[in-house]
Amino acid sequence: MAQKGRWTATERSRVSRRRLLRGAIVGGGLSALAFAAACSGDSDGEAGSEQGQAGSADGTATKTAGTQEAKPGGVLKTPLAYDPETLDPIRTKSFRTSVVAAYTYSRLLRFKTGDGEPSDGSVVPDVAIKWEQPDPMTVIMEIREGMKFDQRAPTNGRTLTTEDVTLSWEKYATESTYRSDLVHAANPDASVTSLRALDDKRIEIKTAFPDAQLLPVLAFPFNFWILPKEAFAGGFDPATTMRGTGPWTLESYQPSVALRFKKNPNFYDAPKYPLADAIDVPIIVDNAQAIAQFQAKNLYWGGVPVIDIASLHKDLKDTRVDLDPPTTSGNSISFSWRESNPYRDKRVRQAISMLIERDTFIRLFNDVEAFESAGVKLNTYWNSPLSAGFGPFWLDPKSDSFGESGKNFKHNVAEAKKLLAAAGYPDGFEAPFTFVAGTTYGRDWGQRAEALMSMLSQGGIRTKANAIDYTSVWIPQYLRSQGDFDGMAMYPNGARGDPGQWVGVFLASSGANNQSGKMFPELDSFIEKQRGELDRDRRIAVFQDMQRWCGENMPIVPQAGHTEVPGLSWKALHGPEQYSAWPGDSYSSGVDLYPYYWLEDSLRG
Amino acid sequence: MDSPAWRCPLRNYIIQRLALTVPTILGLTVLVFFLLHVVIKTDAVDIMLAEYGSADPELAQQLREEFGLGGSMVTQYLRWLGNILTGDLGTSLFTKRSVASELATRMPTSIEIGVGALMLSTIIAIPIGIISAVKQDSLPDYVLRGSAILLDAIPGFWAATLVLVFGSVWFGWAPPLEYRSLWEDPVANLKIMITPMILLGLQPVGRMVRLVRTQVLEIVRQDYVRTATAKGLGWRPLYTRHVLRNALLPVVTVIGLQLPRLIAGTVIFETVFGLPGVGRYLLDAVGRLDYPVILATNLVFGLTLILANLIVDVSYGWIDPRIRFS
Repeated sequence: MAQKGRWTATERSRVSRRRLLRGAIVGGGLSALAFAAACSGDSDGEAGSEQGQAGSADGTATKTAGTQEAKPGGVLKTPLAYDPETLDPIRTKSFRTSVVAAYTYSRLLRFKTGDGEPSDGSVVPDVAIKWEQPDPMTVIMEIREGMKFDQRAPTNGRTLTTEDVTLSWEKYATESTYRSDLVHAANPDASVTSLRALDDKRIEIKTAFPDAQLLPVLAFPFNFWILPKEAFAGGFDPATTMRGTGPWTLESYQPSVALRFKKNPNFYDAPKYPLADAIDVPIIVDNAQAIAQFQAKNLYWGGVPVIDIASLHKDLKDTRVDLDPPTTSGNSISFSWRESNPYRDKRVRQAISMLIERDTFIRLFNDVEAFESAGVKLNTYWNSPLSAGFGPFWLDPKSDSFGESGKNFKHNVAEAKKLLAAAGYPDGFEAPFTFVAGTTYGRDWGQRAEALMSMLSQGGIRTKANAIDYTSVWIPQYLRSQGDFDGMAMYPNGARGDPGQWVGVFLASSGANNQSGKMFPELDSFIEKQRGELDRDRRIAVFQDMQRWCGENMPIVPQAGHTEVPGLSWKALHGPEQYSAWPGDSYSSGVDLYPYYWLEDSLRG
Repeated sequence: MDSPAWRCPLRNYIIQRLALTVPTILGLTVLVFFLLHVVIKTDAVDIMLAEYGSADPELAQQLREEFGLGGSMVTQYLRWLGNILTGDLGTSLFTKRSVASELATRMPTSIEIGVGALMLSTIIAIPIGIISAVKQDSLPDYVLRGSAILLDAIPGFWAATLVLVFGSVWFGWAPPLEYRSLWEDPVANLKIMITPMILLGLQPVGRMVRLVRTQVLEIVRQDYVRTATAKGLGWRPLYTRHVLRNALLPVVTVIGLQLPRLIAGTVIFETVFGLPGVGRYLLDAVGRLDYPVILATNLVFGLTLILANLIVDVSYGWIDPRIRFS
């Protein structure tokens, strides 16, 4: 194909890590802040300029070049690894619904799709076609004209209005379990105090404080989806069916079995996009089933577990390995802040960090050697604690710019022992090491714990495994304990769309799943400062300072890091090799990626 | 057996057993309810908010009120029981769909797999058990018994995985992804269900083969069998009229009790093969403490077990005319 290969495995060896991140670094700061320029969207769709990308009328304008040979039609087939509990993205309690919502519903904004290189994380229009910021605590958005809902009753293809937006907001602000991301009344750290219609084309968002995270958090797919007003007036049950404005319409849904979507003729990019006529989404929970269905060409991409990709790629010559940038999650080893425990001394925390062989750990749990034997090169990226998935916000602990505290990330048993001795533990110490048993946090979570405990033992830290149940022990006793437990615990800190959102939940003393307790007022200062910093470059600088500080003080010890994220697809499917989602937003591929996927005849049956 | 004198005690027996169902089911629901609320020190709302990491005490309180998680546990239980008595099984906390309608949709799938598996295992196990007994301590006996023990030892999830992996690698086969109910499209339904039915059905075969063999061997040593043989009764009438009828009594008990076990045990196969059954529904609910679903599903499973027991007991009278109910 004539398209520029993105992360196709066979070409990967020619692509440097620098290039991997360059795309994100160039423009990624925009993700955080379209405010940076207090920008109003430029509706001419011109790609290239930062403002043009952030406020483009057509966030997909660059797709044309990438799909010159694209053949419309056919049915895409990709699995979903879970059953969405409900189809209502506002009243859902789970990300599983957000994934499905992205096929049919729209948000005010969404993250830009990476095209030929990683997404820069900027926000692009969805329902909101333009936005401006008349003052630091007000955003005015203009909604896209002629955006139509599903042709079927009760929406009957009517045009989306500001009333749909405000009614959806009211429901979100009172009932969504995700509202604490945005609604100030629910969470003092969230900024939005009101969202109202100024007229039939414009809405106004008021915030309690200048908020650099507002636009990316609005774009984050767990949050604010716009449903038609009929969903709130009994016109249809949004828990069981969907009537949206997105690229697809829901044709059928069999709980626990499958969803089927058809191309939405009313989508604002139609008839050009989606390219495919329909997309079948079987719900496949079992890995063996996913592999069998992929081999039988009943699935074209997705579903194959990472651990099986390399071997399957070797066996199936018509397949391709596509690499996406690292996720924005950042697992950690977190500490007890009880006085009886040794972790209040930063030398102990630094020593623990130095005992982790990061590259070994990452390579082991990402099956790097198997990929290398299949000709696929995966790089390792250390979390700082921010993940490399955050692009320009991430400061590489291996780099010189990380400064002196970068040494605390390097494996150094001798230095770790010296630090422990200086802290009063020349013979090390004993400590419980807690982790969730089973597969709640991935099937290798227990093995990760074993590897970490083994590494800690090199420095004389004699850990005792404490494998606990997620529901009955982890949630009530650990998840929100803020360090009120004994020993160390492994925390899974999930992906977020914006780094401020991530540190706000996991590191800020007011964060819901905060692991730094109330121990680090300096850390809170960094978090508060980045949030109020509307200038992109200065905000990045705050994040970089914060990471250097974390390297020195280790409020949590990052659990190593990531590689690129590999996926397996049939070569006759086009799209995955070219387009990628912003790493903090892999949940809304239904709108961000799949409209641009297309099939060669061999997969059209 | 057909006389009114027989029917009347049977009716009384059934009524008595059904009456005993009430305290049994009450005990089951009390046990499940309090285990869920006492042993597990968290609730569904905590799980909902924990998944994403949002701290929202006001919403948590709002959700607890909405879900009826306020008040003492006794009050909550009585409220739930009151709803059950009016035929309301509740609404899933997560899906917002009626539990009764979900069970009505999903139960046929699980029953179909369970019944199909039971039929298959019975059809396979009884002849093998008889052959094994007739050919006692011969090569066929060793082979058949060895195979039965092997089947007993194979975990269902492993067998299912092997079938999928080797089916796709060797034959490019994968089970159909689109589910069709038995009434909607019987042929398509059979294509989907036959593999899990066979896999599930193979599991109890080992136990049943050994049981049939033991029972047959025990019966053929009885005096009346020896007498019948001495009188020159042929092999076929001897076994059909005298041996099997008596040997199958405990086997029927086992078969009857297997049914609810198989229905409840379909979860692995429903998960692996993507079938919309009750087992998977319950498993998902347990993971997120979806109380109405867990309680209602356990209630249904409990009733199925009691009903199966009752049917087994009643069937004794048909199999062995000497048995009388009083």
